[in-house]
Amino acid sequence: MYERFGVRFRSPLVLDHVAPVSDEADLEVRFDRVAGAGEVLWRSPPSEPPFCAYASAEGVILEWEHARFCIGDHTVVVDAADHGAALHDLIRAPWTVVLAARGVETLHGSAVVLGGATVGFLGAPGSGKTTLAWRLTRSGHRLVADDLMPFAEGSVTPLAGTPVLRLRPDVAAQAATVGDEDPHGKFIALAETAESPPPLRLLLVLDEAAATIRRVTGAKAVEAVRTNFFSPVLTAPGQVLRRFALASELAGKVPIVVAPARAVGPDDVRRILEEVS
Amino acid sequence: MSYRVPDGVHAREVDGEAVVLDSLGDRYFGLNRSGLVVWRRLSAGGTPSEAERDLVNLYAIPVDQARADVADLLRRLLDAGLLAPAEEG
Repeated sequence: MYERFGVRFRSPLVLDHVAPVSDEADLEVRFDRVAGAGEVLWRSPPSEPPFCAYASAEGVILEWEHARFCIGDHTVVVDAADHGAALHDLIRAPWTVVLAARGVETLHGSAVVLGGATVGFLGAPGSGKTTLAWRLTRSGHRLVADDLMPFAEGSVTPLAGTPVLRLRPDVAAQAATVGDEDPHGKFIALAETAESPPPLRLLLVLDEAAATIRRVTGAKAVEAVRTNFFSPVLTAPGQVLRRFALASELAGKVPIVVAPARAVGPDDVRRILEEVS
Repeated sequence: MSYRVPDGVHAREVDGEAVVLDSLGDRYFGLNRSGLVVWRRLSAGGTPSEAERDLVNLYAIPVDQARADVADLLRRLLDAGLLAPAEEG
């Protein structure tokens, strides 16, 4: 039995780096066939790797080339040739569907504890979120979450995740110890986690289009959060309004600072946090 | 003439500005501080003339400018489906 962002689940395979728990499971994960059929919720554009999301009577179906997942209320069916790799994937993108069904919305970001506060980094893939979080954990700061940054309904503090960061090969080359390469070409690095993250005091949005570091407020801050939800796919009732509420609440309560992608280091983060505090 | 907020349109105030979610849930519209003043008045059933007075009183701008600003914002809100004439519903 494991727990991931508050959801307890039973897995048919051992999962490394996911907290084992002894409570009753809320979700059963099993392997079986999954048909890629139903009402199309989302289909990736031709320029991106093939992906489709469907709504079916059994649940939400997510279909990649290498795996299909059918996510029901209390069951997730995994259909893939490589079971281990598919379970590894399940606790990432498909988990946002599991969380959305439980009222939890997920931003695409990483977060660490810095000076008694949680600091979050948002941005598109490759913008430097994980690298920045990893560099901070190397200097002793605890990790809150990497890649998925979920928020329970009504809360503006992210839920704590697993002690795992997934590093790009060029970043992993700088690490003293990293784990195996995952199916997506990233390398696992472990970090100490904060079980109960302190309040979020800064959201740093790493943006390819930004030329300078600047604080944004009001509608621009809401937009900066809104464009960084993990998935564009809406799978649960009320999700549109929950996302609107979360983006507005974060923009109203947490300083939002936009910075150029891959150009911010730990010292910059400390300085920005001091300036907005 | 007065206006109403159509079903499915939601607004939030953030840092003295407003963000309005359209009824399809896929677009957010930002309104600056003066836009928020106009939005507050019109979304509560007030008239454009009342919104113009609000702007004149708050920002000490000429009436003609306030009238033009309110007319411009109202047109954009109506075009985006974020407000509708009250008579329609």
